[in-house]
Formats: sequence, C-alpha cells, structure tokens
Amino acid sequence: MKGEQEVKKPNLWGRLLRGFAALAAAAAIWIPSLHFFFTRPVGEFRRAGGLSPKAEQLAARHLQLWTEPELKERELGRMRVSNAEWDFMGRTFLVWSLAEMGLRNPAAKQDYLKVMDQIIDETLRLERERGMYFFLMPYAKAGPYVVQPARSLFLDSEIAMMLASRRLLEEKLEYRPLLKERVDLMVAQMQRGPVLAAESYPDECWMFDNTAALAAMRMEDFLDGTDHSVFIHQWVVMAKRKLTDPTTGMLVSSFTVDGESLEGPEGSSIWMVAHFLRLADETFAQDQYQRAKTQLSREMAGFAWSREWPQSWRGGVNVDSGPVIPVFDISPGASGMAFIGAGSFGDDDYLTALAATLDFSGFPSRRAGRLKYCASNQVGDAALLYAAVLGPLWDRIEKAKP
Amino acid sequence: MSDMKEKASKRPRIEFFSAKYFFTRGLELAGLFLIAHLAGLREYTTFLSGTTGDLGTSIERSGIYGTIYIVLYLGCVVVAPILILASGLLRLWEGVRPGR
Repeated sequence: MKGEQEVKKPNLWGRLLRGFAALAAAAAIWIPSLHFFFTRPVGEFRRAGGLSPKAEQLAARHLQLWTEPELKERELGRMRVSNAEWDFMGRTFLVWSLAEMGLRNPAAKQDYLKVMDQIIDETLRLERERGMYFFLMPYAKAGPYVVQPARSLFLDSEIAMMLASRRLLEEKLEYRPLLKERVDLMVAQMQRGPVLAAESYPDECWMFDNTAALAAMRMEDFLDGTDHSVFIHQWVVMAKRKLTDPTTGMLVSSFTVDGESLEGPEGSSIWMVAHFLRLADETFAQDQYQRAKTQLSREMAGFAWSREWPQSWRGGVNVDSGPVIPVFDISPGASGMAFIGAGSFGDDDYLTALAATLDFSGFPSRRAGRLKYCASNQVGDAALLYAAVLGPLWDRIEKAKP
Repeated sequence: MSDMKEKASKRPRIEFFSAKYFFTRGLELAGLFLIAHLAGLREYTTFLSGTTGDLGTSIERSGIYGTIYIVLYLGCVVVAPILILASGLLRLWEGVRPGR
C-alpha cells in the first residue's frame, strides 16, 4: 500500500507540471489569437462613401425606436432612471447621425428628415413645457447659475447643432430663426464669462459643450453667412492659454466660469472635443487628437480601448466614464467616444481595434437586421452610429472655408 | 437509490489535471454560459453603461445578473478554449492518437 502511494505521488506532481505547462502553452496560443475572431475590416464599421453594414443595422434599430412609441418610452425610460442627460444626448447623436446618413444615402433622405424633425420638435416641446431641468441631472438645481438668466450650454449647443445639421441636409426655413436665436444666446452667455465659456451646470462649464457651441457657430456661418470667426479665434487662443492641462497639453473637461479647472482631461470628453474643434481650428484639433491618442489609447492582443484619465491625473468614476475596469483602466464611456475621435481623424487602425473590442465585449444582439449592443444603451449606440457615419457634414463646411 | 450509487461508482473517474479533465471543464464552462445566455442574462450587461436591464429591475440587480453573464462569457470565450487546447496538447504529449 505504502509502495503504491509512493508511485502515485510523483505521478500527481508530474501531471500538475504537465497540466500547467499545457495551460500556459494553450493560453500563449489562444489569447493572442482571440482577436482574429472579432477583428473585421474597417469597412464593416465605417466607409468613406455610403453606409457600412453596421451603420445600417444600428440605424435600423434607432429608426425602429422612433417609429414604435412603446419601445422608445421603454428605452428612454431605462436611461432616465440613471441620467436624464442621456435621453437628450441620445436624440442629438441620432439627429446628427441621420444628417450624415442623408448625405451618404440621398435615396433615404426623406425618411431620415421625417425622423429628424420628429426628434427636434419633440425635444423643443419638452424643453419648452418642462424647462431645461428636464434634460439635466438633479444637481443642476443645487445652486444658482453664475450668469443670469440661467441657461445650460449643454442644451443650447446640442440643440443648435441639431437644427443646423437638419438644415445642412435640407433647408427648413422654420428652423432658421431658432438656430439664430440659440447661437446668439450662446455667444452672449460665453462672452459674459472671463474665459469666454458658458455654464452647463451652476458654475460648471464643460469643454464638450463649449466646443460644440463653436461647431454650431461655424455651421450657422456656413448656412446663413454669419461670421463668428473672430470670436472663435479668441476662444481658441484663450483655451490654449487657460484651459489646458499643463502636464499633458490636453484641454481640461470642466472648469468654473472663472476658468478654474474642476476636472482634468478625460477620455469621455476629449475625443469629442477634438472632433468639434475641427470646425474651429483644424490644427488645434489634430494636436488634441494626437495628445489624446498618446495619453489615453491602449492596445493589447489586437484589442483597443480608451482610458478615462491620463497617467498623470486621476478623477472619480462618474456617469460619463462608466465603471472603469481596474488594471487596464478601460472606460466604456471614453472608449465609446474614442470611436468618434478615430472616425473623425481617419485613424483606421485604432478604429479597427476598437471595433474588435466592441464586438468582443459589447455583447452585440442582432434581430431582423437591427443591431444593438447589450452592454451599451440607446445613447451609447447612437454615439457609435455617429462614429460610423460622421464625415460628410464636416467636409462640406470645411470645403467652404475661405 | 442504491442503483444510482452503483452507477456513479462505476462511472470512469476523471484524473485531476488530465487531458480529459481539462476537456470536461471546458465543456462545462461552455454549457454554463449557454444556460446564462438562454436565460436572457445578456440584456443585463447594459449595467456597464450605467443603465438597468429593464424598468422593473434595479441597477444593482442588473449588475449582479450582468456580472454573472460576463464571468460565464469570459469563461466560455477565453478560459474554455484554453482548457480544450490544453487538453489537446496533453493528448499530443501523452502520445494518444485522436479517437483512442
């Protein structure tokens, strides 16, 4: 009996050794190969002309939401439980996307215009009837806005861009005075602050919204022959001087009316900021994209993602970043916005690797030609759709630059 | 009852850390994932975006369901293939021909 045990013991250790060696070898084969099952040519996600298969499937899902009221209420209701802003941003991303899609696919333009008008009119009605707080997080009521009368640049800038995008696809005279009113209000609010920036929340200015405002101004200039170039130039000069993080050179994501930084550079902000800045100052936009790429983008085993913060600065996890996955510092919010940055700046390699990560970890769900990512939500999917189709609108405006 | 015990005792014992052990564990992981998938837990991975799986479910409960799904998904997509590959490598090393 004792003799048998002596024979078995080395067998167990030998088996463990062989087992661990086999597991290590298998992992060394499988982990670097895994991305091959999820990596697709960039044209699957985004194409120079026309619509990619994913853009068509994502759009089909969103168009269904706006044609089936019960489904829309359910989807928007799920998001409003966590954040009323997402209800609003889901609308804006979709309207911007539909404008881009209309330019890419003129045959479907009238269908897209119908949905765009429906979204814009409903959003304006809700803002009118329930006030700006309907689309803001509860802390908007925690204190008074510094600049009175209180307005949120979050709403004004994105509504202005929705109106302008619709008119860029096809003129609608009814929206012309609405755009002018929004842009004039934004310029007035921004000029009243010492750093030419307006609040989104009480004494809280967001870079995202201030650069969106600049983009809306450039869109109005293109559409109606106004000229905001002096103001935009002043803003860019000011931002380079007062609103950049000294360590990374990236624009901070939020600051007070006086220009005091609240949050440093963030992935959930900077990728979109760089995209908006393309209409204000292409060189500065390129510079911000490259800095974001260096500081925030990460790739491993064929998968890519974005960090929320650079190595030199760390903020708190919030609704914009999403739950940050430790060790790798993967931020779902920042990674979603990185799609827009990569799409806007033609960074196909990064976009391909981001799309592989999305298909690996976003849990796609396809039904009847409609695609949604289960790990995402309506606003996340609308942002992905925007990343898949953006381009023609900015190109039209940039080509018209003097 | 005694029949069941007898059958269980007659079932061939799978040696710990053997090729068969890895292969079986790999299949079990895949099976568990399949159950979670068929149970509809995929929808609850939306907690990653800070959203609840459905209006009647709290974000905390969505987080639990979603986490279970993600763990089992990673088990199926990352761990199970490693176990099955390791099983194949062990068989190769042990000089066992396929199907034997």
